[in-house]
Order: sequence, then structure tokens, then C-alpha cells
Amino acid sequence: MTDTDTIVAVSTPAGYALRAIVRLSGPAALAVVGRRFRPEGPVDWERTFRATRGVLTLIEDRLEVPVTVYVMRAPRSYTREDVVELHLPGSPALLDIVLDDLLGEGEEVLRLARPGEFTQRAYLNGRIDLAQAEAVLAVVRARNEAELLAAGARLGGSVSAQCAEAQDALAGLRAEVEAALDFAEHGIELIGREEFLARAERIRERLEGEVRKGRGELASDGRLRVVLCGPPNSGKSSLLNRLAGREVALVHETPGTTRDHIRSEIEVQGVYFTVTDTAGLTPSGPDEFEAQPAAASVGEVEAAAARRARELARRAQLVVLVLDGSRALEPGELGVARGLDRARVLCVVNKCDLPQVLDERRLADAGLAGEVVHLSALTGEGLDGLRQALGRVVLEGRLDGSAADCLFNARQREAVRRALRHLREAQETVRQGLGYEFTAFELREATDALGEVTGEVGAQEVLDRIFSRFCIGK
Amino acid sequence: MKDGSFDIIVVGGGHAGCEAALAAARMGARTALLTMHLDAIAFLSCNPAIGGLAKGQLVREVDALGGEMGKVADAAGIQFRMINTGKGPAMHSPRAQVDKRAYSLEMKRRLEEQPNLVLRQELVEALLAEGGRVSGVRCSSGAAYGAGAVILTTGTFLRGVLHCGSWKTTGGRMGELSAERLSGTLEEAGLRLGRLKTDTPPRVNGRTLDLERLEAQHGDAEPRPFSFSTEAISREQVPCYATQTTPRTHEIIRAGLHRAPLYDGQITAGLGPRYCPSIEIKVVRFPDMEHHLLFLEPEGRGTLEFYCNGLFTSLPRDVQEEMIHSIPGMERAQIMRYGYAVEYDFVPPTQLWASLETKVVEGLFHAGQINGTSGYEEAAAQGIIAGINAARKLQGNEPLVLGRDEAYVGVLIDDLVTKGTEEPYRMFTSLAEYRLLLRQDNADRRLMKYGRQNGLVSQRQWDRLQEKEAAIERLRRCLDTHREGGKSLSRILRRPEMSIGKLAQVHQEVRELAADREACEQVEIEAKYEGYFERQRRQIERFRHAEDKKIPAWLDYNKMPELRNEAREKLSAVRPVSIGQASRISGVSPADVSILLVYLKHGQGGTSSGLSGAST
Repeated sequence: MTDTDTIVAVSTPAGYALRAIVRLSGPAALAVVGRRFRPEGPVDWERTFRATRGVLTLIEDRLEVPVTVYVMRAPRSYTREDVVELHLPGSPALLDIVLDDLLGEGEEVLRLARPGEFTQRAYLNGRIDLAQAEAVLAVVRARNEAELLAAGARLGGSVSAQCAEAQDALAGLRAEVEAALDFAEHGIELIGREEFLARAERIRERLEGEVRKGRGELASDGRLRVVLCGPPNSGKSSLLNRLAGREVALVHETPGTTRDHIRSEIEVQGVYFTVTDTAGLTPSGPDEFEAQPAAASVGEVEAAAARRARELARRAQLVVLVLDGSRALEPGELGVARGLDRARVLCVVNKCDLPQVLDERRLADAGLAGEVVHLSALTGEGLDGLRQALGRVVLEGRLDGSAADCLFNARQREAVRRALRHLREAQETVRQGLGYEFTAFELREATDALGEVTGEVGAQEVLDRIFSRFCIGK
Repeated sequence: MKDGSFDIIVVGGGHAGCEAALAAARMGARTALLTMHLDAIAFLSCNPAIGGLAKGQLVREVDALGGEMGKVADAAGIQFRMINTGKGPAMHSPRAQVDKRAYSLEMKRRLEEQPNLVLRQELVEALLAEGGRVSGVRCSSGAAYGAGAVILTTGTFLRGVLHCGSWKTTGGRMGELSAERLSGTLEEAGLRLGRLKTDTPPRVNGRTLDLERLEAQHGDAEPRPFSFSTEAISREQVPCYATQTTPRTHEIIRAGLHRAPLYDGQITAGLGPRYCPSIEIKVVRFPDMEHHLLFLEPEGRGTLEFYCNGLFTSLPRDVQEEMIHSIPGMERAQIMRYGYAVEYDFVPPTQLWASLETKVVEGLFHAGQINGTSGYEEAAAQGIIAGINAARKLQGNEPLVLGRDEAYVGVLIDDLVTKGTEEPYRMFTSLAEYRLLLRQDNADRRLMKYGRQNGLVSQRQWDRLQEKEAAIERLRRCLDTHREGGKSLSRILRRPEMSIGKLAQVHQEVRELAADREACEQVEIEAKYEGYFERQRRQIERFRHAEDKKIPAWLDYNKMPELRNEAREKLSAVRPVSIGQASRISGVSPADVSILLVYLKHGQGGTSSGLSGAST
């Protein structure tokens, strides 16, 4: 563990907010910010809890951003380490640039914080007491799950497939270099300078492509993902049309009309949401909810659509559960919320223009009574209430801005960039003729960095590759 | 005990056992070394050579710690080479061909001369233990000896089986017995056993070789000794010879494969080490290769017997004959001893602490092949550590545990106890994260302090190191303070084409200080690679931080619901002593390590039971 590192993270939720906070904690926090900060007036860094206005100069002075810097000196800070907060305009693209620039210092100086790491440090440094230990563990546990989730998600993603191929090529290159070092006496054919450089270049191009792509994805994805779920014909599509202020979804009174996910972007109090409508999810039993083909003619297509919808709900940052107030709840209809963090579920009781039959005590029993909004998508009544509720969810910080997938976007990118830096260094060692032991040093660092995305490449695995590629043993 | 009591009993007289016994006796423990065969002390069962890549570094480290292997190799060596000199200094490794008989006698003599040490020929049959603590051993002769600590260095002798074609017999080495009963008592004591396999090549009569036709490989003109205490080596060196297999050899092997015990199911312990494959495996796995390199190495100065390095095999005798005769220079060769494979019991090493003491039997230490390693050097390295730690335990001191950042010995033992091994473990430089700093040239500067602390390094040797350090410091300061064209000489030295020799030509003071060759070497290496060394040192700082976070024995992984099941099982099995070690266990994620940190902190808070039930 490396809790002497200085860590950094965006500590406000993802999305277009008016203001965002970038927080650093650790011994190098002041120095890292200090190198980029031009205060408006004289500043005394020793004084703690002071706000200082000024300009942050980024990308080698090519970009200037207005910023307010808060400095909290150790031990009088949340983590009991030196903490610096940058309060910036809340544009995801800008935050991206700021993080890139700060992390450019290198992993020995600064690295991205893991989820819950600020809190963890607060605890380890005795800042928060024993009673809070459970909360810390819960955060760390969530992190364990988030990492697993992300590991699972990685298997399917295209970015990760590319990274995995690059890692494979990188491990192969490392094996060649290690073989040249450890088995020079075995009469094996050593990889030559030109071949090394060519192979390294191919890996470099591939990874650089991924970094560019990753950046694009993050910028377009700087919105909170909201998914509308609920039984068929509860009015999800109507609600989406209302929120979007235009017809984006085909509305029909036959349940099961929506098979494709329909998406719309809305803005509430300066925060942008991507709202996705899903096919109806209805229960088939008390423990499991399955897609129920609403019309007699449907089958596989809708089942597949409903599977995708459940997947969307799982990955969303906020799930809006839309229920029909004019109808009694059927067994298992709340099952869609099963397994989801309750703070991530917002209940909407639709059709308040009709006589209300739904028994809301059932919601309370299911632990979903926290936030219930009554509205009519047909008349528009209560829609403002929903908008306010959406805003509150964000402003109260109930959504974890570092939800697994957002986080892994940034984290993957940072790891890939680090791998790239070491790969370039490796090429440099070969160009300068420094010797393969230095090339190997850089390649190890590169595979370690990329391993954070694709899984570790250990020394034994490198040996495996050597033994399967070369006939070792004289 | 009726036949005598000792502080420490070492079982086995191989490379691990000799180092263990010498270290223990020198540290003041009344020590006995029991071996089945006193004429096979420090026997080189396989190739007649010491050192080589990564192994040479180990020998230098054993020497710095106060071990004997380097000194004996210097005395018994018949050809010395520093290999891999085409690469940077971190990759240089000393290697020597040694006279097999002379090596054994040199070591035996040193054991005999060692006060506090009893040598006795005995076949140990049982480990004696009471209440989870070792109390002694019982032998096939009926003799029983008491001991406060026992070090097992059983090599390939535990239920050893030898194979040559369809022929097989029990034995730990051709012509010797095996230890059939000891394994059972280890299992009774609660240890889990596994099985490994390794091969040897045929040995041939040099009179029947056409050596003139083969390429001779000579030693270095200026042999560099293994031991920091050996001043110089001046004796006539003998050459090795290189040859190679032919397509005809491979045909013969393929035709005989159905009779190979490796492939017909007779050998069940796997295919053996991948870095040292038998010739039949090479031919099967690399069918496109027309030739495989072989080295003919002399077994000694007083014998004509040659060792066929590269021709490891357990094929039947007639196939071995035919195969040998298809190799250039060996057409008329007479085989004196046929190659064979040996299968033996080992004790998977995750059952050990890093001190090499077993977790289930207090006072029982294991070193060498019993831990699943291969190689004389790996064995010696574990032997000296086991000897030191057995003695330290009886003295009531904390064990000596070298870090991965300090020594190849540390990497070796940490890998064994943290990760275990599936095949005989051999040292490679790529296994050492900090190999740029773990060089053969600075083993004394890294490790001699530990040898000294344990009384294994003489005053004279220690004084020499202090002088060397002082000379290094003087030279370094001289280069830092003198300038040429506005730049310090240290900076100028970093240029690729520059050397201290060149600086000495123009600088009087440098010339005087550069007379010390050892100091020169250190200063020059450090100047050349300063940037990388600095980065490795920073990595080591981070590594140390995690190593220094100790995990106390009270930590109960079953009371941590936040851990994933796999992590909980692995942690419970390995019982890591530090956060650093925990993070190296495969299947333990960074998040699992964070959870450990939180529990550790909680435990320091003073409550006894941990956070059981939290967040469930």
C-alpha cells in the first residue's frame, strides 16, 4: 500500500455542474498545485482554511483557468494530510484537462485516488473515530465490488479489448528482452534494435489511439445516466416525452410498445442528464423479474430488449421507477429495484389524474418510500416536482460521482497514459543503446501500469512466455 | 535423549545443509550434521559448475553473509568466467567450472575443522515433536538425538525414485539410498507434501571424445573470485567444449519416445523444470529446431569424465547410446554413467515463515530442494538463512529476513513462502524487481552487515569493507568537488564515453584515488546509472513502507466479511506478516489490502475482537 502517495480526485459528481472541486491530499499536494497556481495577491500557504483566488495555468501555460484554491494544512484537514481543493467551473472537459495536467507529474508524485480513499486516510490517520469505521469499510467494500464490476465490464468493452491486445504484445516484447538478459548464454536469437523499435511503435500507436478515444467518450459522457424503469404501460415513454419537451418515444396504449431504448438529454439546474426509456420490465415470480411479452405475438425480441434494459438499470447512476397509480401493484413489480442501492432509486407514481389505487405502504415496505413523486405525464402536473427531485439528488451528493464505470474511464485512461510514458522511455533506452536491463525496467513499469486495466502481468508469466517461445536449457 | 542432545540438528549434507550447519555452529549453537553418506558432502549431483546468471549473484550474497560456497568454489574451481559482460553491470554474473571431488573434500574439511559441529553418518527416519514443537530426530540405526531446532535439507532423497527408460529403483541419487520413512512423519506432524521431478544427463569418457574438432570455451584471462575474501586466483584453467545435436539425434529421440518414462506415464510428477528441459521435451516442443546446443564440461582436473550439459534425459540406455553417437565429436563416445530422472517429495513452501521455519512445527526449518527449489546456489542461500535463524531462535532473537529490495536471497525466499512453486524454482534476474541495485559487485555493501551482526564475518573482512566504503566516499567527493569547464567531474563521468580512467589521465587527485579498483568500479557504475538507481530507490521507499506495516498474529481473516472469499482463503493460508507481503499474494486485490489496513488500525485502537460483523 502506498498511503504516502499524494492522491487526487474530482470530488463533485460527474456532469455539468456550475462548480466542481478537485481535491488533492498528501505531502506533494501543495507543491503540485503551487507549480500551476498564480494567485491574485500575496498568499500565505501556512495559514490553513483560506480561500485564495487566482489563475491555474495548464498545458505548459497555454491554458489559464480561474480558480479558487483552499488550503488545509496537516493535521488540520479531513485526512490529516495537506489537502488542497481547487474550485473550478464545472465542465467535464475542463476537469479532464486539469486532471491530465496534474497527473502529468508522474505516479511517483501524484496518482488518482481510489474510491473512498480520502475517507480511508481520514480513518487511518485518526481523523474520524471508531464509530465511523463501519462506514469506511462499506466504502471500501463497495470499491471491491466496483472493481469486480468494472473487471466484468472490461471483458466486453472495445477499449479494453484493444488494451488487452496491447498488453499481450507488450508482455511478449518484455519476454523477448528478458530472454535476451537472462538466457544470453543459451544460444537463443536475441531481438534486435530495429525489430524492438518497430514492435514498440505498433503498441504505442494502438495505445495512443485508445487514449484519444477514451477522452472522446468521457467528454460526451459527462452526464448523469438516468434510466426509466417500471411495469409495461406505466407511462415511461410519455414521461420521457414530457421531460424532453418533444416526441422522442413512440407512445401507444398497448403495453410493450417500447422495444428500443430511447434516449433524451435534459438539463435541470445546470446539471445534464441522459434519460433512457426502457422496455417494460414485469415480474414472472416473486424473486426474479423477467421480461413479460405483453402481446401474444412477441417472444425472443422483447425478452432480449428487457435483458438490455435490466443491464442499463444496473449501470445507471439513477433509476427512476415509474409506477401506474391507477392500478394496484402486482407481485414482484418492485423487483426491478432489487439489488440496487436505494439512494439510487427515485419512485414516480404516474397517472395522478386518474383515481389512485396503488397502495404506497407497499413502497415503504420495500424501502423505496424515501423519495416519491406524484405526477401525470399526460397533463404535466407534478413534473416540476420531478425536476426538483432530480436536482436534489445531485446537489445533496447522493450519487457517487465515482460510480464504477465513470471512474474506470478516467482510471483506465490514466493507467494507459502511464504505460505509454514508460513505453516511450523504453524506446529511448534502445535508441540510446543503454542496455536491455534498462529497457526491461521501463517495460515492467509499462506492463504494471497497463495491468491496472487488463490484469497483472507477473514475472512468472513473463517466464512462461520465454519458455514457450525459446528452447531454454543448454 | 539417549544418544546425545544438540541445540541444532541439520539433516542432510548438501549445499543447504553445509551452510546451515556452519552458520549455526559459528553462532555458538552446539550443532550436529547428520548425513546418509559422508563421502557425498556438498556433492555436485548435477553439473560440475557453480554460479551463472542470477546464481552467481546468490553465491556472492551467501559469501557476504559469511557463507562458505564462494570460498570453496574459489578453491576448487578449474575455470572461471564472468558471464554476460556484454550487458550492464547488473547483469554480470560469475560462474566457475569446479572439480567435483575437490569441491566436496574442500567443504568436508571445513566442516570437520569447525568447532561446535559434530558430523555423523546417519539415515534420519523420523522427526520427533511434542506439542507442536520439534524435539529431535530418530535414525535407522535406532539412535535418537534431541535438539531445540531441526533443519531439514533432504534434497531429492525423500522417497526418491530414479528412472532410466522402463528401469526404476528407489534412491535419492544414482547408487545411493533414499529416505523412505521421514516423509510419513512430516505428514503426521501436519505438513502437506508434494512431488517434483528433475533430470540428469549422461557422463562420458573424455578419452573417447574428439575434442580437437569441437569449439573450446576458455576461462577469463583474469579470473575473478566469488568470495570477497579471496585475494586472487592464479592456477591453470581447463576448457569446456561446445557441440550440438543433429537432425539425426532428433530422429533417434522421436523413435524412442514411446519408451520415455516422461511420456509413457511412468513418471507422474510432471515434465520437470521448464528452464532445464530434458532433451526429449526439447525435441517434442520445438520440432522445427535442427540443433540444440550442448556443452561438454570436465568433471574435475584428475579425471577424464565429462558432463554433457544440455542432454538431460531419462530415455532407455540404448537410445542414449545411439543419440550420443549422432553428435559431432561424440561418435565414439563411451557413456560412463547414463542420464536418469529423479522424482522426490517436497514440502510446498507456503507452509513456511520467511525465517524458513515451518508454521505448524515450531523449531523445524526447511532449506533447499525440500522447499521446491533447484540449484546448488539457491540451496546454499536458504541453508545459511535457515542456519542463522535456527540459531537466532534459540538465542531468543528475531529472525533475519532479507527484503526483496536487499538481496536475491530475499526475492527467492519471499517468492517461495508467498507464492509457492509448481516446478523446481530457479533464480532468474527477471524475478527481482530491483535488480539494477542487486548486483554481484555490491553484495558486500548490501549484506555483509548482516553477516557481521551474526558473527559470521571476520574482523579482517569487516575492516576491508570499511576501507572500501571510505575509498568510495573519497573518490566520490573528489569527483563532486572538482570541476572541468564549469561542470563537476561526477557530471562529466555520466557521459557514455567517459570513464574514471580517462578522468584520471588529466587529474592528479583522481589518479591517486582511482588506484583502488573496487572503489573505482562502484563509483563508476553508480555515476553511469544514477537516474535509474534513483528511480529504483524511490520504488524501494514505497515498497519498504508497505513491508514495514506489520500484520499481527491476532488478525482473524474470518472475521472480515468485507474480504472476498478468495482473498480470505489465500490470506488465511499464507498468513502474511506485512501489508507488503499480503499484496503480493495472487488473488488479493488492492481493495482487500485496504480492508486489512482498516482492521489493523481498528485493532490498534485497543479493542480485542476486531470489527466482527461490521457492514454485514
